[in-house]
Formats: sequence, C-alpha cells, structure tokens
Amino acid sequence: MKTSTVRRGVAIFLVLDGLLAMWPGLLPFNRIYPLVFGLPFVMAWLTFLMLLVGIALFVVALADRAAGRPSS
Amino acid sequence: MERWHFIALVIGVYLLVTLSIGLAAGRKSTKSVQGFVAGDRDFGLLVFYFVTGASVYSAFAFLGGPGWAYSRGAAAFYILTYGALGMAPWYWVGPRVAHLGRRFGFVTQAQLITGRFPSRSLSVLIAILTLGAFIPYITLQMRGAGIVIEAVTEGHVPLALGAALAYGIVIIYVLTSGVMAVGWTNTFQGMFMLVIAWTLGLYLPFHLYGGIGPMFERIAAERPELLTVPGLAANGEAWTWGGYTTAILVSIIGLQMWPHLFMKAFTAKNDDIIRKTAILFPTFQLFLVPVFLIGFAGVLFAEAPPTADFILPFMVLKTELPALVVGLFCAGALSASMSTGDALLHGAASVTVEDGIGLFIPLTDGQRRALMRGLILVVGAVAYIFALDDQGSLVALLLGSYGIICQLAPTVLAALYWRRATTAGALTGLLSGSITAVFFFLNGGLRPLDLHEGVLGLLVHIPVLIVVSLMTPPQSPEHISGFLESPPVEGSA
Repeated sequence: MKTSTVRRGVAIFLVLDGLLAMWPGLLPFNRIYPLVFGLPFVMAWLTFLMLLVGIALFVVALADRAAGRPSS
Repeated sequence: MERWHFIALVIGVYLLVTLSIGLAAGRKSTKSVQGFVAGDRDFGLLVFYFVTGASVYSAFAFLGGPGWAYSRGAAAFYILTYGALGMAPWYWVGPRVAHLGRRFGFVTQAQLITGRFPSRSLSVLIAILTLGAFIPYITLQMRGAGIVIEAVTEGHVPLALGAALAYGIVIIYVLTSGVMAVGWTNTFQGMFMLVIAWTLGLYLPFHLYGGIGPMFERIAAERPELLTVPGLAANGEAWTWGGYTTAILVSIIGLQMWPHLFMKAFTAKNDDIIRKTAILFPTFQLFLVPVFLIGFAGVLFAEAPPTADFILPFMVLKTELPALVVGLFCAGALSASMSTGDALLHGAASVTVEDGIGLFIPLTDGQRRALMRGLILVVGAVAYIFALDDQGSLVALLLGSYGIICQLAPTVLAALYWRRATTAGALTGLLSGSITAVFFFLNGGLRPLDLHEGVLGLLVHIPVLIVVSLMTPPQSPEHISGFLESPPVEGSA
C-alpha cells in the first residue's frame, strides 16, 4: 500500500477515534455495565480508544519505514 | 522515632537523589544558550519520552486527577481522550519544527513563528501570553508540593517550608544544568510517578473493596451518576455535553502549544525520537487509569477530605499504610509537581529573554544565559509569594490559560503549512482570538451552549487569520520555501 494512502487512512481514523470519544459518538458506549476488567464500560472504552491512537501511529511509522522516507 | 520523622526522611532522601541527578546532568552540556535551552539538541528516546510524559502530567494530574474522579466522576475521563489525541499530530508537526530549529537555530516557539512572520510585536505578544499562563501554573505546582509535604508530616513541615524546600532544589538544578537537568530529573521522576500511581491505584480498591469490579459495583449502586460521561460539574450538578466535548477539543489543540512542551522539539537528537515518543505516549498516559481508581476508591469512604484535591494524601493517611509507602507516595506526588515546575520555570525564563528582552537589548550568548538564570530566580520568587496565599481563583486561572495557549495553534500551523499566510494575518488573528478567549473567560455566563472560551476564541481567530492574510500582499516565495519544504531524509530514521 502507498504511504500516502496509509497516512490518509490513519488521519481519518484519528478523527473518528476522537468523535467516538465525545458527543455524539460516545452516546452508544456511555454505560456502566458490562464491566470490562472491573472498569465501567465507558471508562474501558475510552482507555481502549486512547491505546488505539498509539497503534494507529505505529502503523504509519511502519508504512513510512517500508517506503524508506519519514513523513512530515 | 515518630512516624512522621520516618516519612520526612524518605522524602529527604528522594529530594537528595533528584538534586544529585539534576546536578550531574549538566556536566555534559555546552555553556551556551543552545546548551541551556535546547540541550545541544541531544536528547535520546528514553529522556525524551519521560520529559514529554512527566512535563505534561503535573501535580494537576496526580492530585487533581483523583480529585476530579472523586468529586466529579466520569468528568475526569476527558483527560484520557485529549492526551493521546493531542500528541498524535506531533508525529508530523514535531519533526518539522525540529528540522526548522536545526536549520535556523531556533530554540523557542516564538522564534519559529517570527521566523516565518517577522514582527517584534508578535514575538512580545507570545512572550507575554506565555508568562501570563505560566505564573499561575508554577504557583499551583508549588502549592501542590507544599500541600503534600504538610499533609504527610502531620503539619510539622508547613506548606511554606515544604514548597520552599522542594522548589529550592528545583531552582538549584535548573540554574546549574538548564534543560539537561529538566531532562534527566524528569526521567527519574517520570518512572517514579508511574510506579507509585500503579501500585496505589491497584492496592486501594483491593484493600478497601476486595477488587476493582466490586468497587465499581458498589459505586454503581449508590452513586451511578458518577460513572457515566459527562459526570458532574464543579458545583456538584450534572455537567453538560457541550462543556465536556469542548474541554476535550481545546485541550487537544492546546496540548502541544504549551511553550515548555513545544520547545522540547528542539532538544531531540533526531526526528525519529519525536515520532517514537508520539507513538509511545499512550503507554505513559495509561497511568491515568490507576490515578482515577484512587479517586473512585474515596467515593464511598466514610470520611471526606477538606477539599477534593486532598483525596489522594487523605486516602493514603487514612488507610494505615506503612510509613515507607506514605513517604514514597509523597515523593511520587512531588515528582509530578517538580517535573512540570522545572520545565515551566526554565521555559518562562528562556522565553522572556529570547523572545522579549533580547529583541530590544543586544546581548552576548553569555549575558543571555546569565539573564535567564536571574529570571528563573525572579519567576520562582513571584510564584512562591502567590503560592503562600490561598486563592482558589488560581485554579480557575490555569484552566482559563488553556483557552489562551490554544490560540497559538492556528499561528503555528499557518507558519508551517499555509503559503498564503501573512504577518498581518498572524498578528491580528492571535490578538483577536486571545482577546475573545479572555473576554469569555471573564464573562463565563455569556458563553453559548457552555462552549469553552478557547473554542470561542478560535472561532474568531481562524476567520481573522484567513481574511486578513488574503487581504494583505503574500510573502515572497524565497522566504516561504525555506519553511514549507519537507525535511530531508535522515540516515538514522
């Protein structure tokens, strides 16, 4: 896959990630049960979205490296 | 030996270790402004990761985070969202900033901006905004340190002395070693914060409720309003979605614009280190989970602390932990306070000299370095005087400063990415946005939909920046190309 495609995909993903963490995207996930690892569902969901940000950037880094040039 | 003697001893050892790390750090750096402010552009991944994490998460996160979870519940979750997303754009912007720093010799944010938009007024405006935002911030860090020491020594070391001790040490190592001390002490303090937060955050729910799940089941039964977003407002009533969402937006936009964080891009050894830190940042941020668990553990506790921000020391003292653990916890909280406070003191002095005074009075490299040292003492003293005075308004002032700091974002992005932007556009945009943000901060009742004053400022700032830029003649292509071309490929990347 081309670096620019990956970069665009990840940028869109990051925007989506943000929208799912605030109004109105968060509404369907805004509940206490089921508890996940003992945490209220919404807290676990927001933690999960936070970790996905790092993973998304890691994907960009892999694509950049494969293409042999860093992006900026 | 009484219990508080032992706790004070643990804190004393911790402070000594920090001091020696800070003093040892400076031996390598050159005696130049470049060495004092940008660490000779030589920070590796380990140091850069912890400098970033520990400077972002201050006493506000370590004491305020549990305080928010305790008193406002899920409102605190907004911190989970903005940190990672605020850092993500840095993957692209950070290396660009670092590249321009190497190319043109910039060591501050205002130098980068006025490199593209040459204007002394713009530089001075940024220096004033920075100083205005930093002093309440430093004051709160000092108070945080003093409060913790006073609490765990049962009042034997009063706030004034505790704050003076902790920040006396910060000032000694920052004066001696500049940003190198900030880097290496933050590495030590960042690790310390992480270990203490995870240990206490997992220990308290198990000790008091038999587990994390059982704790939340009980809170869900008795105080369910705390466990769903947007949680509660400061006055104990339900918070609004408008308030919650725009708090996230402003913090995402403002996070990297804080000059003490932005300037650290100039300290990285290479661009890859900045990218890796952006990728790894959520792993540092994960420590917010145990921090919130500490606050939630206090919700059903029979007694209440004097104020919500006291919940962490309060829980630690009330749950009969061994004196060693109390001392270590205290050191963890001091780490959070000092690791942000040192970066702020250093940043305030660097910005005032490089972007303010230095523009009007010609100074040699050595004189600038000496002036920065003097200003670190002055800023420290001013903040200390404020810290002795109990003013709740300072907390509000800090939250308000985010609204101003995020006004720097359109200016920085225009400088780096928009060819048609002009100096007049940048200056009028920043000025109108800041005035709008300050106006709505002072007149909170006039804000539509409970929107954050920073967002309202941006709604004025961005159109003014665009319209004024388009109405004024474009900059010469030679001037712009130096700023907008991509950084070259690096061998080490």
